[in-house]
Amino acid sequence: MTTILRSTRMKAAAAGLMMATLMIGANRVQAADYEIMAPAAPGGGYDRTSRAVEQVLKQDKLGTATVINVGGAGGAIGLAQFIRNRSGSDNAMIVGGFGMIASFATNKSKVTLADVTPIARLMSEYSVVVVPKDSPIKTLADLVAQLKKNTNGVSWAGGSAGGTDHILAGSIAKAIGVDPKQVNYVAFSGGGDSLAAIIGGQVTVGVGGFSELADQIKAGNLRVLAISSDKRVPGVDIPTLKEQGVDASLSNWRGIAAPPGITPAQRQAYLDLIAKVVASKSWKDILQTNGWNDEYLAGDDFKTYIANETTRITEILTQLGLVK
Amino acid sequence: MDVFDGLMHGFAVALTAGNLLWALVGVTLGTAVGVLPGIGPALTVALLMPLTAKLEPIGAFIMFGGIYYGAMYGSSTTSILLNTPGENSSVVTAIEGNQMAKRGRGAAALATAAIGSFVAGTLATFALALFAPSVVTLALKFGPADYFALMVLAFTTVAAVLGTSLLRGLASLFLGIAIGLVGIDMQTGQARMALDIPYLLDGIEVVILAVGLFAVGETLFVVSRQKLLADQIIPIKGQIWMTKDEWRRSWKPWLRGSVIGFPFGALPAGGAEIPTFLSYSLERRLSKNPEEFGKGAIEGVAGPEATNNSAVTGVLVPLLTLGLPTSATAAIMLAAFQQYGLHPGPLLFQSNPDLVWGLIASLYIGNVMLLVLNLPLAGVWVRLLAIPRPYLYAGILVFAGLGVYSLHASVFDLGTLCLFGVLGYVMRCAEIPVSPAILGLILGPMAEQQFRRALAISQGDPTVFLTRPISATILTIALIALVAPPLVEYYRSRRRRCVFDQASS
Amino acid sequence: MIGETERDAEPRLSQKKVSATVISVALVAFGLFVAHQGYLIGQDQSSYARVGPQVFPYMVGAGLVIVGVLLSIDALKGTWPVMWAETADEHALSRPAYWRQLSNVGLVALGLVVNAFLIAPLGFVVSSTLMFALTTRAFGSRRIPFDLAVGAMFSGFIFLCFTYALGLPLPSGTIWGAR
Repeated sequence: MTTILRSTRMKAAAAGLMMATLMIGANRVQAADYEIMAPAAPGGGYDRTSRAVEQVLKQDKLGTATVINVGGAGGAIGLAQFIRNRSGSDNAMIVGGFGMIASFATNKSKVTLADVTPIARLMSEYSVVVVPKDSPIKTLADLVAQLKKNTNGVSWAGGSAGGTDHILAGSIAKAIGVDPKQVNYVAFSGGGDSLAAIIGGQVTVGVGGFSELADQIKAGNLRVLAISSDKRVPGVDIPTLKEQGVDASLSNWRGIAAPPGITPAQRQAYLDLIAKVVASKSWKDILQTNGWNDEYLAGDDFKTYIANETTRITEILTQLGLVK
Repeated sequence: MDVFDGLMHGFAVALTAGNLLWALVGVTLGTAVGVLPGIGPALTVALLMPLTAKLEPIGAFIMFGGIYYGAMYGSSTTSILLNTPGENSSVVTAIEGNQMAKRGRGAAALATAAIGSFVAGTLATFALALFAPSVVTLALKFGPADYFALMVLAFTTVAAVLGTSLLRGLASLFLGIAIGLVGIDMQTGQARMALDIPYLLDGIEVVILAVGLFAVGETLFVVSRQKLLADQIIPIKGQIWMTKDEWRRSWKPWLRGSVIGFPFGALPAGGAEIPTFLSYSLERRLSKNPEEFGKGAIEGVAGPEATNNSAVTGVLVPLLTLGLPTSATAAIMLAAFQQYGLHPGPLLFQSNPDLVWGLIASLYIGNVMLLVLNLPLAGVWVRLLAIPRPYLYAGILVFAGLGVYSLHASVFDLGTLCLFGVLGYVMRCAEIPVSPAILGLILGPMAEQQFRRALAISQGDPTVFLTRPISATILTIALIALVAPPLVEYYRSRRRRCVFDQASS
Repeated sequence: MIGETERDAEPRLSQKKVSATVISVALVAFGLFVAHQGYLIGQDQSSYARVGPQVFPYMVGAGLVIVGVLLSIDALKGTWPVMWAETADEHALSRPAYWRQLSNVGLVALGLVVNAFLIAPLGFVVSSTLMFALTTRAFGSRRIPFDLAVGAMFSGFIFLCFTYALGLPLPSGTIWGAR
């Protein structure tokens, strides 16, 4: 009898503990001041950017925020939901970027970034072109020569078709006078899979985000041929594509936007808020730890930038045969 | 540093009263959140990450370890009790586990899952400490062609779930593969079978199909036969814990599962689903009572559960040694590392031995905590099944809806769930097994992508599958797995007939 | 089956046959649909890999058609049991009892559809409560107000957990004016 009692008491204690820890969690989120939508699953770039903004808002006491992840159709689902439910709202934001523009073009999305109110470009990441460490390809010139000789024979690894990595591969081909459609691009899901294929020497050459590949480059598992920035990145000893005679560049940027249908005063409030975020030390720290470039560009300039990027990206995707 | 010294050092770092508390909090939170449908380990870790932000790195990792294992186990709990798997790698657990629960052995199923997870987690953690660098060198040799061969091997396991009629089993399998075709084709960016519906562009989640076919389909089926199945669910029959016989039947699957899971987890594109299917089919072949499979065989819970825990530990191999995140959860953990300015990868073992060994030790501690917390709770959880049937099934449906909705906060997914629920009901009425469909949905897309990647790299040369040694070896094993059982069966029956003939003559 | 008269057995056999045939025809139709979807993708996508995005849809579609055709033979032979509802006492399954059982299935299905359609406008708590009560009703419960109360408490608790403890907001219903 006593043993039964003891075991029920133990169970009650365990259940109690469970409730108590849930309560700890409960204190974490009270009604938040802002809602930031990450139009992607947890773990990716949009999610990390959203959570970074949330963190800064909290640390610098600018307000509290809830991040909601609505993934799907390269961000189109989240964006459509945002436009539908949050029009005119003064406490909702959505994160978007280069990848979204590309996938909207390929999928002929009905909603685009032109349907929301752009606030600011926040950051960017450059891509790098790499080969396995014991590859016979030593320089970008070697790669270019190979590509010109036998385009199909050079297999490229990167993220999904029509994404950032594919676009860079296509731009390189175009710049050296090779038909982008002939690029033998092998798409992998997620950064880990494609990285493993490159390090393991399964493919000829790989494309990926610089911050994701930096450690492998440092450790000597990969040889880097070029970085996709326009000019040399300070403190990074990697030659750009352009300085090696390949006229291509790519900056994988992400920014933040407010709902459509807001008043100029509301827009200004958003602009002020984000200006405070990017000026804070906690934001600089986050840029540093993530290896992101500070590319703050606000308001109308950002709007023009989005329009130009849309034209440019759509053009490359058309040449890759992904947009008809 | 020597591995043993390293591990001891790790324990020295990790074993403080404060850290043990964090481990306990992590496991508790992880289990609590993981039990909620639709919230798998990845989302759990993402949700709870802010809680760890203020901790010292080692305390944070210990809590992570707890959350990670807790969430994994939590989603097995709902698989077993409610037939609503929260993530792909606990789909197989639902097949036998839920049957056990209905026969009154739910607590035993939960116990074998918990102990199996513990055993596998422990062994895999040691394997991680001992072999991580060498395993990863081997894992990198796997190319798309080799992965395709693995998929072929995994497809042979479908024989274990085909049921009584080959044709109906195949119908289910093809249905699953067809559902897997929905969405954007990764290699070309083309939408397939998406009918211009943006929600379909990313394809259909395995969890939606699994919850629809298993939980919703079954609810509809039970309603259609409620008088017939009047006393089917028994919360507890016999003793509550595992019987001696159940222990005897569990320990080998635990060990085998640990061995199967780890290398798959370590493979960059291996994952935790395929080895659970392999384990299930292996246990069925090796079992002395294969006829119990499908009706609640404990081996079918013990093996896959050990396997999936071992596999998720294996995922840490590429993460820690190369900084390669090969699952969503690993990607979030990588972000957590970076939050502390740490860069997992080839340099981490040298630059931060404290942390690496501390993390490995804390995984171990997380495992122990999981067992301590969940064994007593198993007896509590099964009492859920004592809820009167109308309320139990109504609750299951609410949970199923909640789980599917919270995957993407999408009403469209709820509609899909209704459709799959009705499909599950029709399949049950027509005695078409539902598991092959889920296997098809998991394996089909992976197999196709790897197949086409392999051919793209070889520029269309199909012999690549036979000229690569790894691929050729695995394909041979698959062939044996497919051909051997019927052959053995044939010879056995012939010998039996001979004996019988001699005896009668 | 033992107490069954010839007259009772006949219609049920034909009903099984019809149901099974319908299912196998549906499989064939779905197979053709899958193959057609593959055809729509077109052929120009596979210049160097030879195996493009249309190949797997063709293969799977063909598989479904073949399996469907073979199953239709089973169906017409009557060796494939398809029963939409059953009770313990099979020969006592009169037409009204059969339809009552089926209507209960319909009730649960209705609950699912109600939940899917009403979760956005009415919110998680209301839609789940309705689904809960429809399901308990289908399982033979007659205490509708009590069931509604239980369902509301259950889904209300989940709603609070998700929205406040986890920070994963569930829909609270657009018609109530909440955001």
